[in-house]
Amino acid sequence: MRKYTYLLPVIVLLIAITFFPLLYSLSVSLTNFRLTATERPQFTGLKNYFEILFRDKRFWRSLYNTFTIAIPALALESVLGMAVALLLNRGIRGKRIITVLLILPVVVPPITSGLIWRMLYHEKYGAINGLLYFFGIKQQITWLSTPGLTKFAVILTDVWQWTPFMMLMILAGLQSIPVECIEAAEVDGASPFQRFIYITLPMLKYTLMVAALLRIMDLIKVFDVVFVLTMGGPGGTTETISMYTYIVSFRAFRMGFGSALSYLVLILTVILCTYFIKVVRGRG
Amino acid sequence: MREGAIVKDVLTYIALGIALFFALFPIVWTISMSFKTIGEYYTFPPVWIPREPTLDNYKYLLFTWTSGLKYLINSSIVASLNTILILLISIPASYAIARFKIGQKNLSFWILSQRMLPPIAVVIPYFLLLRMLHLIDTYWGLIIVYLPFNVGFAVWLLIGFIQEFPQDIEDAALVDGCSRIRALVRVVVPIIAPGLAVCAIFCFIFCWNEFMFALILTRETAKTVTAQLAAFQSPTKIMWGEISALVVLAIIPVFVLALSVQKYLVRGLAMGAVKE
Repeated sequence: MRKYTYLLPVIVLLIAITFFPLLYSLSVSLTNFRLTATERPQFTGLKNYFEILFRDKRFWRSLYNTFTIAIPALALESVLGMAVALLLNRGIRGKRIITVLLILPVVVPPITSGLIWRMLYHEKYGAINGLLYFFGIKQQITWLSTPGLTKFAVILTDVWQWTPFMMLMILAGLQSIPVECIEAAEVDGASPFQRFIYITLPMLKYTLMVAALLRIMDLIKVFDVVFVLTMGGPGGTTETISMYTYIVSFRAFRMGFGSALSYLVLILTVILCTYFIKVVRGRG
Repeated sequence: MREGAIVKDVLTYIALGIALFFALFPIVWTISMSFKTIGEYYTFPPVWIPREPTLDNYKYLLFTWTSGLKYLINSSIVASLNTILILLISIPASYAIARFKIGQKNLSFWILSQRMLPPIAVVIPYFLLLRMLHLIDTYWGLIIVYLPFNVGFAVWLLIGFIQEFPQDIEDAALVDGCSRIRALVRVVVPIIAPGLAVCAIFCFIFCWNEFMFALILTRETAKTVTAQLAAFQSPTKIMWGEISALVVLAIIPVFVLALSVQKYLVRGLAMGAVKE
């Protein structure tokens, strides 16, 4: 058996199920193909791309929404993940069981985390307003229909699900820091804060970088949670780029325009992914 | 122990307690809701613990409106068949990359990058192509489109497991006149079996949790539990009890599976990017 025969199934699979479909959608993106139209789609060249980039305000808004959800979510997840990881790393008792319980949200299907939080946010019967009532705040807050709050609601849901991921990655990173480094600094009289800034943080740089890149690549695709929480509303304030592409392609059935949009998402991901691989390989 | 150290420990536990509350409260609340009657979940302030717990929501999903059971079975079928195919494809591929060093690192990174594909970028061509092939709303349609996502991850994970295992045993088999393929099946596969199980569990969880493809590429026959969960929220009637019960049923399998591989969670989640 030749060496390459072992790889044949994977290569065939990736050509048939990744390359070919992507080439196909590239060709669709150069047409005005609509699923509902009766006449044959016409070749329109780069028209869709020009329209998106120069005339489509909704595209730019969805890009803005994506990043104003992704960046605060990533920041919160990193800070909270770091805080919890540092607490767990203090050598306390019951660390294992606490870690296991804390990571449960990570494995929950994202669609269920969206549904759970949709019920929590409910203005009349939700638990969040219920808890606030318990603490004396009697006002029923409309989390999912007040423009300013909705984005926050989406971010909080993502933070709930993915902070444990950051925590787990950082914890693994913390455990790989040699104890001698910390001890040496302690002997030299470094305060806990100084030890964190000058030793822990620099030694975690790679782990943080990898974790943040993995998160940001996921965050720019955010769809499931938005789909059940807000459907992009109210007034498009949470319509992310994936949500917008979905609506264009599968609600308005504009496959040509939708494919062009999806290609722009792909390009964005490829840029981030290339950078990610560069970071990981630089280490190896 | 010094007094300061005790205070610090107490503060640590308080902070971790808050973190635990934030992580677990939504799940516990949903479980509680799944045992409530309609009168109990439509009240304010909320009833935290159901006074008269009922199994009606579960009975309705599984026995009265049997579709709930059907969607759970659909999810299991799609996830299991996808996982089997993934193992069949990625065992030889990862073996070749690990042992013959084919394509250096480029090939494995290229395969890994499949995992990063934004689903929205491929779901449009998948929809159009599956429609031409009459595979919309079939198990095979979903099983096929999940392959690229899982294969990248599986090959990556298995390369690590194969490299960890000493080549001597395999060489001994080869010297004894065993063919390469026989050595792979008879020697390598049994030894890396725990690794294969970990890999299978991650692949299963990915399929089970996936939503966008299930939403767009199925209608009714092959509809999975995640697609059904999204369909529950009609504007007029939100059936919280039933939703919660189905959420709980959708979560239990992934909890059990994830706990069984918790040792490997970091490696799985980070796709081997962080060396343990």
